[in-house]
Amino acid sequence: MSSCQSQPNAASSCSTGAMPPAAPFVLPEGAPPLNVSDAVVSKVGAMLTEEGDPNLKLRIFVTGGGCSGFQYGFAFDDVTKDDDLCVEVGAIKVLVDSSSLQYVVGAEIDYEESLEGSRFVIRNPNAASTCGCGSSFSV
Amino acid sequence: MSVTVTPKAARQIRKALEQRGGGFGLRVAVKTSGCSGYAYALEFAEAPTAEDLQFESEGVQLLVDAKSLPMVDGTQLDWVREGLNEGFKFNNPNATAACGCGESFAV
Repeated sequence: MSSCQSQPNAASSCSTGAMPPAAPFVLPEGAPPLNVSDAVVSKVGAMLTEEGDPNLKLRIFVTGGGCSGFQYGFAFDDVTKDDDLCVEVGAIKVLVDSSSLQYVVGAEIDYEESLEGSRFVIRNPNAASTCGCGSSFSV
Repeated sequence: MSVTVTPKAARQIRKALEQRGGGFGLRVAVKTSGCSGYAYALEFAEAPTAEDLQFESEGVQLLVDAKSLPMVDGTQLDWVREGLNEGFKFNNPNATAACGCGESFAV
């Protein structure tokens, strides 16, 4: 059983399930709810191999906090909830719960590595402003 | 006056220098930006300049320019894993406020 939705042009056998409840942000017609970069697919794939659990999914969530009001969170989760949007891209699955999705719909999820460190980042068209490092934002 | 690193940070700096193919050490600087006024800047250094103060900590060479030093004096640079992200963390005794992620600070 899977509630995963395939990202366009992703090699995937995942079936398309029900969409989460209507979000206040309206996506342009045909646009994917989340764009997951190749760097994320490759890094998460490596992390899952390290964890030894290929069933883990990357969960993206939004909580209150940070200097701009909201902040992003990233974690691994093996449980898919009823209100989750699940995007499958390559060998990985990305989950976003419906209340978080309204803040990140249409966003690009990327993984950046630099001298300062390596981190998951979100380029979010819904964010009116962001913190220096991009971990906090306002809408 | 000094700037130090933790063993974990030293390991990461050595690894980064190796991946880069060598270099003298790590430059720690401060620039004005970010939501709290100042932001840290890290870069690879090839050699000290006339304005630099040089510190050795845990076997790695650190360079700080004279203008930046008062704002980072006593700072210990750590390498931390926070959730799925990892990066350098500045434990700066001069900072009175910091941005959520620690990239920006006020003195």
